Amino acid sequence: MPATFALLLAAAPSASLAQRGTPPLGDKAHNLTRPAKSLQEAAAHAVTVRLIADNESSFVPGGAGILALTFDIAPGWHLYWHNPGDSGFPITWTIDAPPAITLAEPQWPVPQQHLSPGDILDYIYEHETTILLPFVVSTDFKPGDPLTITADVEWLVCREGCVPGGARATLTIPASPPRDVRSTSDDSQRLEKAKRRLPQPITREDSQWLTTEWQGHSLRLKAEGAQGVTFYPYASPQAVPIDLVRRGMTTGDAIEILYRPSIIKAERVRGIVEVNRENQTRYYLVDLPPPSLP
Amino acid sequence: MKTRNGLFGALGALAALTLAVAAFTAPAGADESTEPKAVVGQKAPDFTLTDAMGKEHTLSSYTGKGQIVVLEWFNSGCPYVVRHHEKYTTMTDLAGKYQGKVTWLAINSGAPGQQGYGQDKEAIEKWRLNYPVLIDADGQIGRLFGAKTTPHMFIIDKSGVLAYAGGIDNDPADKKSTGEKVNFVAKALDEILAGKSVSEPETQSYGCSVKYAQ
Repeated sequence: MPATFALLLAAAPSASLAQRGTPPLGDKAHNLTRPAKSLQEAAAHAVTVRLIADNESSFVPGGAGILALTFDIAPGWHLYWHNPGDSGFPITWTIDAPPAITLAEPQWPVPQQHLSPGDILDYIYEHETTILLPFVVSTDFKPGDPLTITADVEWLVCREGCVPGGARATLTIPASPPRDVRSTSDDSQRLEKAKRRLPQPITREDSQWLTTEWQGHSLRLKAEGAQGVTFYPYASPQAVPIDLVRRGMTTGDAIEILYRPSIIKAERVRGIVEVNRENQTRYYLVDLPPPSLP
Repeated sequence: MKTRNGLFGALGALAALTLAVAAFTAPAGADESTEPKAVVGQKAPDFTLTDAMGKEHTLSSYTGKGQIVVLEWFNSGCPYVVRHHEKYTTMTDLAGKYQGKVTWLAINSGAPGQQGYGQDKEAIEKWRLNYPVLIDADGQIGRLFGAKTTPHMFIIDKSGVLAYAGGIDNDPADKKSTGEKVNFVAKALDEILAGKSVSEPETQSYGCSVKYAQ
């Protein structure tokens, strides 16, 4: 093990940057006890995670780039979004990187809906997913030594039952001068795929046809001309949708998300609206103040 | 609905009654909209289920005797259930603490062939459960209450009203310090026993999904 790596690890609590890739509720890595052995054995091989970068030459003073956690998930198994939905538990991680590297908020691709008997609606990832971690490098960064970034990742992986798991993913950037080394074509594809599934803000132009409106405790989302609208709420203790299975999706152009009365105490109400319109699927970020009501 | 006279009227009434009875007793799963009937603040639906040892339990027979009832949705294979029975003895501790005033019932709504089905006797023994595990294999009662996770907790007060629905505590990740951790069920039970209203009657439950039948 390189000396620098060991030093980084030892200094982890104070000296280095620890970013928690946590969902909005701030859930931490969890510790759970063991389920039946055969399921556990299968789960042990169900998830692989790697830490990749879009371009090694980003690691220069004043540089910027994208790190990413890329997951491969065995068939039949799934991981969860930052809002897992009715059951499950999100992917969580801590990053150990040199202080010169500042990570922005993680960018999660829009998940898939997973509906189970009993109207249990979860938000999951299957087969492959990549969570983007944009970063900037401070101008006083001193290139020279090899640069190592470590991600300690934890998850709940489920098939017919659930098994907690985790792994450490490491990325080492060799000593400078940095070469213009882009990610492999496979990894570039993963990054592009993830980018295509990121929500975009609703521009003024978009709001000509994509509107959000509070009607009591219901959030009406209308996409004129759409042939499919689906809402993926962010988790919040106060903004709790009721009956998403029926209200959260349509093959038409509008949905009404009914929230519990506690909605009026929410700071913000957030989620992603997926719109199928003009033969394209697009994802938009909804970020609103709560309704003001007695 | 108009009433008819004579024989046709009697037959019509009988047909209508038969249909009404059939609709009332149809399993919840057969319906397309399986909206839970249990609503916090309203009377909880009554039910009868047989436990893993063959004994029958009816909700109203407990509330009728002045008992508060706690329902714990259960699957012995789920890591979150295991946490509260092995790493901690959250459930049995609470059941023991409030014994005499509270009837604690675990319910397994898992379908045959699914995780945790048929494993309840083993769990009762291994975890020394001081309360029964009721078997709801067709998931009818689970769907009636809207149970989504294991564990998922419901508290019915002495008048049969659903007073609490949600998680066992505020710590899905099991990372909170003792000072930060809140056991929602203990808090609600204390409030009910003190004659107060439950301050947090609905919280987010966490755990594995209930393994309902199709």
